[in-house]
Amino acid sequence: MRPEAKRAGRVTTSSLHGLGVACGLAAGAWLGAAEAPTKLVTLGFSPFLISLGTVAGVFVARWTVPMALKGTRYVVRDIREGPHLIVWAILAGVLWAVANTLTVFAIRGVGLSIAFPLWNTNSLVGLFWGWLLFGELRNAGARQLMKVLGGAFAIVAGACLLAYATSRQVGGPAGAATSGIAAALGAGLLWGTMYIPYRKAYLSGMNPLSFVTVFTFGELGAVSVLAIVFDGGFHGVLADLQRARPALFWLFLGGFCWVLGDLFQQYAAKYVGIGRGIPLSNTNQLWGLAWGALVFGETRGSTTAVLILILAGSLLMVGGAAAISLAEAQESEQAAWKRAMERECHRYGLDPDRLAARLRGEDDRAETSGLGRPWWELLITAVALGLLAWLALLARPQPIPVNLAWMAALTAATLGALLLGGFLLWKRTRFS
Amino acid sequence: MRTSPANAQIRPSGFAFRYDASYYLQKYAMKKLFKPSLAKAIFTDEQFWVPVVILTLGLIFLVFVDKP
Repeated sequence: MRPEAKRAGRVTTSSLHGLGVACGLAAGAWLGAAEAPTKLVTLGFSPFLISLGTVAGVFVARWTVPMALKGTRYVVRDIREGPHLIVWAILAGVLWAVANTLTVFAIRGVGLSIAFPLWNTNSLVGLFWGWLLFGELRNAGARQLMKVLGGAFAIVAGACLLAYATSRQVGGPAGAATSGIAAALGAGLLWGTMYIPYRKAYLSGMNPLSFVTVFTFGELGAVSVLAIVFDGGFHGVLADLQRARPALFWLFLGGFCWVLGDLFQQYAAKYVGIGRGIPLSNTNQLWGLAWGALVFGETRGSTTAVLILILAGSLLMVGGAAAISLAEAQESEQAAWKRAMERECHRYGLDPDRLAARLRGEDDRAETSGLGRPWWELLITAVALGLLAWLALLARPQPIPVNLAWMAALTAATLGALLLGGFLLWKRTRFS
Repeated sequence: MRTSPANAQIRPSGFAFRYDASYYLQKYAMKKLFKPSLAKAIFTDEQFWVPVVILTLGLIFLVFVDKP
């Protein structure tokens, strides 16, 4: 037996569930940290410009991180094996971009610590699509079903509580809170629907690293078009970019953080499904609340009643997500997952045995990455680092008061999640 | 397959150098990567239209929310 097969044999379903849970939690930390730069929207930059700046960082990171971990030859081979997923990945990228732009409107309307949990209702949307389209929760058993549905209702209740707190806290123009809430919920719907392509890709055996490499063309293309159409045309965008140059580094950095979180989220979707993986990654709500309240002082000046409402709503949502994540899929449910996979095989002419192995974390494409790295990978790395360094030189501190001690503590915790999640993924699947 | 495109240059060695992008798009992207049967499989997949419809609604909403 090949060493890889022996290693794969040790990877049990339970350990893959644990891996998926760890990835989901790490995703929460990084997705939460990535939202902090959008605070800049309060400084008068256009939401479309903020989105474009962030997505530029996302685009660079989505090319460099997969390349660093697996190499371009591996990624190209993987994409060629499932060409239909190119269309799905681009579609997912466009969904992400529109949702991301809506979040900026949401933050402007109701603030980061409130908007966050509202758009995190995307987990409910993902749960629904997972059940409807991919056999998730089918034949799950009453106990598992109760955990998942109970968790889902807790998330909805938490969101309602936070929306109520919003209406008490926001003192801006009439209608701003309503518009912000609607934008946040719209983003949740779009993001929840974006998980359809995610699940589709992983049922088809694609590596998450390859998927995001194509995905990013959809998101950058869509955000560029949105910025040009809604933000005063091409020249308007260029002028705004020029004006925002001192802040671009922070947006770019936010994009980088987002990609790390998104990658963990993709692995969570692969190993525990979207119905479970997405609620777990939505613990970013806690991280977002921590960044907003502790670092940026967003809740400063709020009444005790509002603070209690925000805290209770957040805890309710996190409790719901935890209940969902503890509902490990049993054999009967996994049989339904298998049927969904076989549907993809039948429609797109894929090999069911290879796909099943890849869903267990085995990688028959691993030998490709053993070849020497081509010269262009060094060039891509140099361009990415050069761009980051150039933007860092242009960067100026933004006139936003921050609590440095809390910022250092949250940064350390986020890096810890990266190291732990990355180590587990490498140890068990070699980033497959 | 396209033959003898009008804009093909014949080098002294006899090697035909084609520089029209549509030729390469047709030869590599459309025939090797996206076969007609694959396009049909994608567009007749009912799951494909779910995100397309939601995306359309999202774009309409974005126009609405952008109004001051």
